[in-house]
Amino acid sequence: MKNKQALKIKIKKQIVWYSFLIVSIVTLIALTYIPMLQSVKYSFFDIQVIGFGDDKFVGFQNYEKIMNNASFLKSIGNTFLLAFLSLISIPVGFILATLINNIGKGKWQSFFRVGYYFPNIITGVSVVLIFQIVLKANGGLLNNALSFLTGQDVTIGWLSDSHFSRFGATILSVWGNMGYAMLINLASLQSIPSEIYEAAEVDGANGIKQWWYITIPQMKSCFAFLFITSMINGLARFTDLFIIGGNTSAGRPGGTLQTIMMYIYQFSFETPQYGIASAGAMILFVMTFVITLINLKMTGFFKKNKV
Amino acid sequence: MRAKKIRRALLIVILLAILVIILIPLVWSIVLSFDRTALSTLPEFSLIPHEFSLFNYEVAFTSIPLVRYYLNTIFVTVVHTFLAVFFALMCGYAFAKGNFVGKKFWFIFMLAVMMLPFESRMIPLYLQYKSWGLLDTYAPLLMGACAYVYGIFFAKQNIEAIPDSLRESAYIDGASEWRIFLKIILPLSKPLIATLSILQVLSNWNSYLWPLVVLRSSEKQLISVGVSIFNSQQDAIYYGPRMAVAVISAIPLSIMFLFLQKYIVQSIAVSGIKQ
Amino acid sequence: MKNHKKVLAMFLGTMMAVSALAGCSSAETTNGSSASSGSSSASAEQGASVSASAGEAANTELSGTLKLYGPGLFTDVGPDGNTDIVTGVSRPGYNEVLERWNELYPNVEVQIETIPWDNWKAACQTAALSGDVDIILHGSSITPICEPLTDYLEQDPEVKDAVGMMAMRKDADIAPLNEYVPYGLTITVNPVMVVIDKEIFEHYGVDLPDYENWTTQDVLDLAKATTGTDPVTGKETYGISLIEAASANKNYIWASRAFNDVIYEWGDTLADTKVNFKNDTTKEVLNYLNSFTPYTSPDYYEGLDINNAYTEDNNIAMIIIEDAYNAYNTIKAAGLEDKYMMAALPKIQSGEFEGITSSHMGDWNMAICNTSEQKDLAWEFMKFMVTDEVVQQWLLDAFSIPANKEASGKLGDYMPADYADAISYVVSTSPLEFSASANDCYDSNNFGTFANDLTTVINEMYQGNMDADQAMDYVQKNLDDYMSTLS
Repeated sequence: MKNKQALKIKIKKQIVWYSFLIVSIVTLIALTYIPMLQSVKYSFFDIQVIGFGDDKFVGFQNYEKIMNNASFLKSIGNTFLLAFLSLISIPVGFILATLINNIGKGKWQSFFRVGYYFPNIITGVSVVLIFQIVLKANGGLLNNALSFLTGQDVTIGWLSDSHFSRFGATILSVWGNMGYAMLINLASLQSIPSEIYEAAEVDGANGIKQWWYITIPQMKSCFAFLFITSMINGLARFTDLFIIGGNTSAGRPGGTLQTIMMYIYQFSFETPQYGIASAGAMILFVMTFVITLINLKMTGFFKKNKV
Repeated sequence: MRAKKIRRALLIVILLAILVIILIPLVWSIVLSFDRTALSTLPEFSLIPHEFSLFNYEVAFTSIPLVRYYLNTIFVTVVHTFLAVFFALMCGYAFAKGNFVGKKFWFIFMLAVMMLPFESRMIPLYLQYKSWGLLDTYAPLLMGACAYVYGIFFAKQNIEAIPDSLRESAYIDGASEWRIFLKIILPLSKPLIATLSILQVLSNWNSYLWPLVVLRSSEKQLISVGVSIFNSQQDAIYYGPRMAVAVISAIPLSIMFLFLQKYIVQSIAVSGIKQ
Repeated sequence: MKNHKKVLAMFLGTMMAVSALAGCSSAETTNGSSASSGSSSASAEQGASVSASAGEAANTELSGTLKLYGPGLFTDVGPDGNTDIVTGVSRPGYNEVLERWNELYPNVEVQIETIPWDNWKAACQTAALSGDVDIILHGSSITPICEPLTDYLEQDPEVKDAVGMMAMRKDADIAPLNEYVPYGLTITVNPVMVVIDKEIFEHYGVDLPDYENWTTQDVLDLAKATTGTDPVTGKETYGISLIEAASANKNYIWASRAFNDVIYEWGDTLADTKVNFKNDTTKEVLNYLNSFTPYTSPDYYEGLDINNAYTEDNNIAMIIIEDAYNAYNTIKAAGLEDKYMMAALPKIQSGEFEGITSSHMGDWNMAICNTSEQKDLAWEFMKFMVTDEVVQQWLLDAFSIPANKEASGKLGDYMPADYADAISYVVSTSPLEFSASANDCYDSNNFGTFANDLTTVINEMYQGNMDADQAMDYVQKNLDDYMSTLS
């Protein structure tokens, strides 16, 4: 009798906890998992445009084709390269945060916090439009500044020459993301207990030593967090590069800015071969899933009592 | 003491200089939006308009139903954000404090699809909404909000940091989990709510392809699509009016950020990423 | 009452005359779907005054709701028209078209859903899936979702006679690949033109070209001759601005056609077709395009070189453009009609089209969505768009060049001869059975990323990062890759 009662309470508890989750679980199943299973199915069929023409089951052929496609492999390379380059925003954000932290709390600090974060809010087509002018080869603002500094005539096509386009695209993403990195670094810096520094000062450690031996180790998990989010954002990069390429997914200039997402888009809609696009999407999904898991493991996310 | 003051002043000057450089593209956009001469020919760079005028804004407001798109977007964004944040907090609470069968499984189940590219499931999703008869309504734009995976992840981190003692004392008073969630967790999560809200608003405000595809009546369209229609109505890239439209559409975000920024910093400080 | 009779008499008189001219009468047609061909040619003047008698001419048998979806002219003008902020000229909205349609077909409601060009292909494919679209605007570029128009054109032969261009594609499922399949009815055409700054030519003492006879080499020579420091103004000038670098493949379209660089050996199916991109003529074409590099502005690549075009400060002697009417409007608004002229691109050197201009025409077309349940009705509307005189007038007023031959002949009423003649020359010499997007030199529909790849290599050559051989290897490799996926 008592056992039954206990079981009832236990089940009731389970139900209570599940009542918190159920809406999200159902939504995910209906709006993400079921469509995803469809995509899995499509990736085994020879489909040009979904819903039109006869679909033929082709087994793993789409995967074979895509893995032998130079453009796909190149787009994987591009994606990782761009994602890694965009990590520059982390050290930049850290340096900014250190400087801002050093002026102490007050009006100036909140002013800078807001000011530096601002670019993160402003996104979209118009920013790219402005950057296309700032970064243009002939008489762009950046090149003008470089010409002034170096005393030579600099005409780098930051967004137009395939040798430099990845750097140009990185300037864009660092500009947009460093504010976020700065905010998170700053919050993290300010949560380091001041006693540690005080103790170090007593031991006679100077500013740089403190910075190297105390600050940086204390910031580890903050860096890890930024690393994960930046990588995830980098892997999913699409819109700004799409606009730089003149509203095509070819990754202009020279295909150097074609990310996997753009490749998938290209084969989904622009030169439709939906089967191949679905195979690409599945590969991207597996890749990012693995990366996310590794990230979570590395940062000890699965460990209990992490506070 | 004086040396410290000088050092601080120097730092401020340096930071100001860097800030100016960083904000130049934005400042220039705003300047252009007030410049009557900024049309298909881009005027020389300057920090004040060559010929100050509100012409570009007039153009923006008269050539497309901007106010209507604006209201639509605000409606969708507000509802979406509310749903997304509320359900994210619910799940986050369950994952942070709950003790139930399959916790780890469901957590991975949710995180797994965080990275699935939307474009690749867009068409199956579209067909699904079609079969439910929900095309050309706001439902396809809003229903997805009920599973905001990144928010769940973030909320779990934050709620974990709330001490258990608060919950335990409530238990003793006989409060249920739901009551605890609504009466204790939610009020304590203001910074978290602020952060997730702004992230949601940011990602919603500019979404383009999905609204373009699911909304068929033009009076229901959102501002991102409206801006694109505006751009295609002009014979060339007219920089001034384009920048005016961009500035108008960025204003709500900027205001929201100014109000919420202190909460955002707080929530980042208490989340799992702190030491 | 008297007045009313007069109007009626005039209406009937003109209607008979017009329908006789058009070579069709409502008596011939028996089935409902095409019973309108007579009434659709009622002339423009009556459009405004016939409302009292329209009931008699109107087709009340057809009923239903037609849905149009897609980008292009309707988006640009909107329902009520719009005014360009720079040129100040306004264009009438598409409600005028709908009004006219409802006079003729009071029981057929037409709903137009306009979308911008951004991501339009994705949007159209998805919309077609909804099964709730009858006509895809500009749909011929996405053949899998559209219905071939072959049967409809056979049924209404007068449509083919009326237009100067149709959206032709190659589709192995319908016809052998050496034949064309009509997929869209072209409503307006966009001939590729050269805008010539006569002043710059004069300053350099260079003769203006005779555009009916100039060659590819002439273009290059003239570009060279007009690059440098203007002897009169002392300004730096550039010889040419090709079609924007973001669409460099479009330069390849005309250049490859001018050199008659046939790269396809068509088979019955795509798999049987051989694509021989790597050949000497292609090399010539690529090098030809690349040889313009020294005569283009350094801002060309970023699309910023023509910012000053069509103003007093213009410094480019020849600008190749796709949208002739817009360019003319900008010139007119600036009051510079005397400074410029338009020309056709150089003539084709050899082959099937030898001697005619290599200017191709882009278009804005309508295609029947193949998930539509009212295909006949959709065809009726498309036919109306290319034959009805009120619509043709509307198209001209909306600054478009109608595909309807008779209407495009009226261009001379809208712009000076320096412009109208050149445009008409291209429009009238362009063969009906030719498509810029699917021909023997270039096919952007059937060969995967071919068009994108061309843009990539031409731009890379422009930047000096590739030579013609590397470019050909790159494109051929992707073509081979693509061809190997067909089985």
